[in-house]
Amino acid sequence: MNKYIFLLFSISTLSIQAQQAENDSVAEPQERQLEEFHVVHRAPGLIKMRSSIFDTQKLTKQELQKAACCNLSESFETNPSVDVSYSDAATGAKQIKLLGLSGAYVQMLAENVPTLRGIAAPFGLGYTPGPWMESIQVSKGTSSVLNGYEALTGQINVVHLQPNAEEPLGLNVYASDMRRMEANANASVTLNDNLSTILLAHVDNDTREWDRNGDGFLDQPKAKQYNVLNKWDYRNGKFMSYSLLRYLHEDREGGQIREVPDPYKIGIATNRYEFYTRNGIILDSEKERSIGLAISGSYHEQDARYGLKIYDAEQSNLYANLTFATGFNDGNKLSVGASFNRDNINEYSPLHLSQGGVFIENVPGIFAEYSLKLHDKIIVLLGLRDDYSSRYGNFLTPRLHTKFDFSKSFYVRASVGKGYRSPNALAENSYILASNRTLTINDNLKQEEAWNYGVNATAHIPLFDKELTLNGEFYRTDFSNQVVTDLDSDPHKATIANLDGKSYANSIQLEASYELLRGWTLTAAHRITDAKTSIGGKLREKPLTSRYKSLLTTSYRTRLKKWQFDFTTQLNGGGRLPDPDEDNPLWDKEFEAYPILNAQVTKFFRGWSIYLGAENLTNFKQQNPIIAASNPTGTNFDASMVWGPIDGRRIYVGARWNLQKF
Amino acid sequence: MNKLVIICALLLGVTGVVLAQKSSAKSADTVTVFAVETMHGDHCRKRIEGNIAFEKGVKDLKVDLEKQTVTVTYNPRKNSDEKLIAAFEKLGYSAKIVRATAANL
Repeated sequence: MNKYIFLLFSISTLSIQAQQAENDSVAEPQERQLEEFHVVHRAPGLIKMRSSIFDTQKLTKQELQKAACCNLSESFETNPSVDVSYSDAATGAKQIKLLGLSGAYVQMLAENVPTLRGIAAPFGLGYTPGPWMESIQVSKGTSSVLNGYEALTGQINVVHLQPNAEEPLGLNVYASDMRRMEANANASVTLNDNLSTILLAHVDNDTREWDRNGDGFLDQPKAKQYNVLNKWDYRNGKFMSYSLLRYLHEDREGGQIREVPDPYKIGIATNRYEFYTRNGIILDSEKERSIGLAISGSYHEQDARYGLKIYDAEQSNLYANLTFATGFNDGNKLSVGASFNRDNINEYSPLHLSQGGVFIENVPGIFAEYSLKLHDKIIVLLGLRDDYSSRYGNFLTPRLHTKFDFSKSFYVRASVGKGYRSPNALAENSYILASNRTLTINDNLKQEEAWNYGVNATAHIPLFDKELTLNGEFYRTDFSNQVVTDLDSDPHKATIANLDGKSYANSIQLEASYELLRGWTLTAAHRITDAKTSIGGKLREKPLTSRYKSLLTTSYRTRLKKWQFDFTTQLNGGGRLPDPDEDNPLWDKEFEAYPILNAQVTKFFRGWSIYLGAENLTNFKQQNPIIAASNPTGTNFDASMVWGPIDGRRIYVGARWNLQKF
Repeated sequence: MNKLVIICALLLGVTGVVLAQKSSAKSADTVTVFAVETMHGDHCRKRIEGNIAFEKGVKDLKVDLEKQTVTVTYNPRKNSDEKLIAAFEKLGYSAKIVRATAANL
């Protein structure tokens, strides 16, 4: 019963905040004008970009602070569209799902520059600390061709705190009952009228061993991370330049607890170096004519041990994008440009890669996008790319987006587009290394290729002096080529091969949000996912994928914004598990629906705030997440059958402090 | 059992919120509309909210960027228009009284 006291306390004082979306990065000037707010009413922390032709939501800093822990992977706890789950029961890696498909099909961007590609993807969500983020934009469906051909199901763009921020110094500390400690600091300096810079630093330490489910394995790996980022902002008349430098080091250590003799250990050490520079010149502001050049690069190395298995990998990436944009008198706009991407991946895993895995892919490409306004009611965006991959040859990426404004408060978007992705079979499936399945990666894996279709309708209905927002959407992703991981045909094997047959994912989502009383907002959403793939010659439901998700998130902020109460509950529908052994089944065929409840209370003071929160309040845990945990050298050992939470309730406290500019 | 507890908690929550909303702005409170120059958008609004709310006796605060006004409801025994004007000045804004009334008028 005790465990509900906190819950009661949390909800019995429900309240909300009324902050608006902060100005966005200068890179998205078109978005500034989109946000239509009322001054007195509380703007939601999650903002639908009304005028955008893309189905885009913006998670503001206020939204991100609703669930204060800890990094990008946890930023979506209050979001109906994005699901976050563990990839396995041993490494602590988290993955997202969008439109019923793996996060690998979502293009990750940092300030509109592609990032976290290839081998960086499996742990990449943990590399961006929550307090570093100014906002996140989540777009569903294929997005603009300007950023590439990837984004099969959507795009997530992270905007870090800005150098010219209003709060030149900031500190954030966090601690959980599982002894996870985190500290974040940011400092920005305006050097002169043209130049400003910000330094972001993060350290976390999670070094206590916990085995609350008593299976002899750590529920969470011990982890340490050091992370620094430095951003520069230079503006001189019509020239603008933004640059970023970043370094990250992370150590993870999971596996069996110390008390076990000769323990099975998992160790993953990562170093990542990253930079980008984006430069733009406005040639003619009246005609919206500009030219922009973005260059980015990264070097990522990861040394991993899963028991006796080794997986060492390094990847260097170089990317450049030159775009020319011009407007026309009738409001239409044209963007054309060229891009180049180079990935050099070097993998070493003697048990799984027969030959040393060296992959080099160079992709030069050209693109054009035309935006057409018809009678102020219809916007059409036509995009086309032509890219040439040194591994897969030439390919075309057509995309079409339309938006019909039936009125200011009712509009419909429809999109259709193609997307491609180069698979990184071992990196994306490295969670299988936390099992004793025999892994086979077929030769000649093809480039992944899919069509995505989407339609979404939004209505803003005035109701008791406030606005009720209703949104309904349907998306379908249809693969013509996909790299499929078969965990079904044999419970002791995992085979990665090209799709032979059909593969698709349908996603239907309904969402309603409303400000019930001044300061009290409520969002309710329900989504149904139907994802099927041909596995072993049969069209089967995608394993480890929930069939539905319901989410209710509510937030109340008192009149003077001194207190804020947040509560989110989600019900994740059941789904299919990979086929167990017929004669000796070690796990079930299906998993059942399970709830997740999160709550947080924040108290604001002048210039600082403290928060107390809990994740997974009902303490729901997947029973026996690791199959045959007692014998990690035996053939049945498998930590990859994860569908739900492994660690139970987590209670945390933290404080934020900001120096204000006067 | 779980569901019951959650439902009870939600009901309590709703009641709590409704009561909280009704209890503000007593009849003895002063409501003053200040013309504040110059508020440039959201960061100014946040800054005013984040500071004026913590001045003594302040019970409600509404920032209107369009009209460039801030409406402050406060307990006159704990604060005064002059002190609030000084508080605005400390933040770098000049404030003038547009209208001052008691809350019950």
